[in-house]
Amino acid sequence: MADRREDESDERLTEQIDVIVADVFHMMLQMDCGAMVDPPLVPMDVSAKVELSGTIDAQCVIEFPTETARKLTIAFMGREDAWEDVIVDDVLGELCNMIAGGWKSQMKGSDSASRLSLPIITRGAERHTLDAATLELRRAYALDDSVFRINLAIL
Amino acid sequence: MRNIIEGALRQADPDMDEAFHAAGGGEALAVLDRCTVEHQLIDLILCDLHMPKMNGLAFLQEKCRRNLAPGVPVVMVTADDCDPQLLEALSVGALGVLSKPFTQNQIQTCVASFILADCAPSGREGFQGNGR
Repeated sequence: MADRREDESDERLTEQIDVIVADVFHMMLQMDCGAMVDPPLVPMDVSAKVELSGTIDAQCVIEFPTETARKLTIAFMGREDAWEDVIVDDVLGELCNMIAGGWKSQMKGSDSASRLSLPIITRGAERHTLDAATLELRRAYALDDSVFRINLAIL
Repeated sequence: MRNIIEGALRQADPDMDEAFHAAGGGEALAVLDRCTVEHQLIDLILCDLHMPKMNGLAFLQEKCRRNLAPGVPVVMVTADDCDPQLLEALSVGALGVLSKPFTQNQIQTCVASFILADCAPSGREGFQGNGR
């Protein structure tokens, strides 16, 4: 019985996150992205992390291959020259913030006492990891010919 | 985010004179100081709630304390509608909220509702305080 409840909870979270991610990319970038069941193994070099703390402690990490991060940044900024690391960092942080904010709004028990952190960006070997979690979700999404990942944890 | 917002506004109103940008609350206060000295009128302030160093709420409080851009409507931009600081910002004087993510149409409608409400001076400048 408990296993079934956990499965339903995982399934609900998965559905929620797929909708949130699709909304963020569609509204902000007019881009469609879909969840991947069997994603290819692609090195994820850049990642952004936003933490939720308060009534519920949680983490949201979004990971991209460098090239995808740059393409996204150019699309987000509407400028072909917008690929410097500092701009890429801003855009990835903004995307992570919006996904974490959307997730927070869907959480049961996540009242106004919970706060989102500012995004933290890492590159290469310094990539973000999730802390030990009571509930964890790892999703991959296809975006044009590339892939990105979202990892969520409720601590 | 600042560039996206400005792009959407320029698409709706190509005649918009100028959009001042600030990377944080401190920079935003400096822009308002400069506008005051140069007698430049501002129609609207769009301010992200989450900014490094000085966040949107602290900016708003300091803006009020120093009586900068009095009467100019402030719209808070946030990805977290439940943030307690948002309620505080509204109580301090922010007039509206723009939730992220948003479509171009949503930002245009939001801004138009404040500009057309004629609750701002007659200049044609916009101002955005946003950490990113």
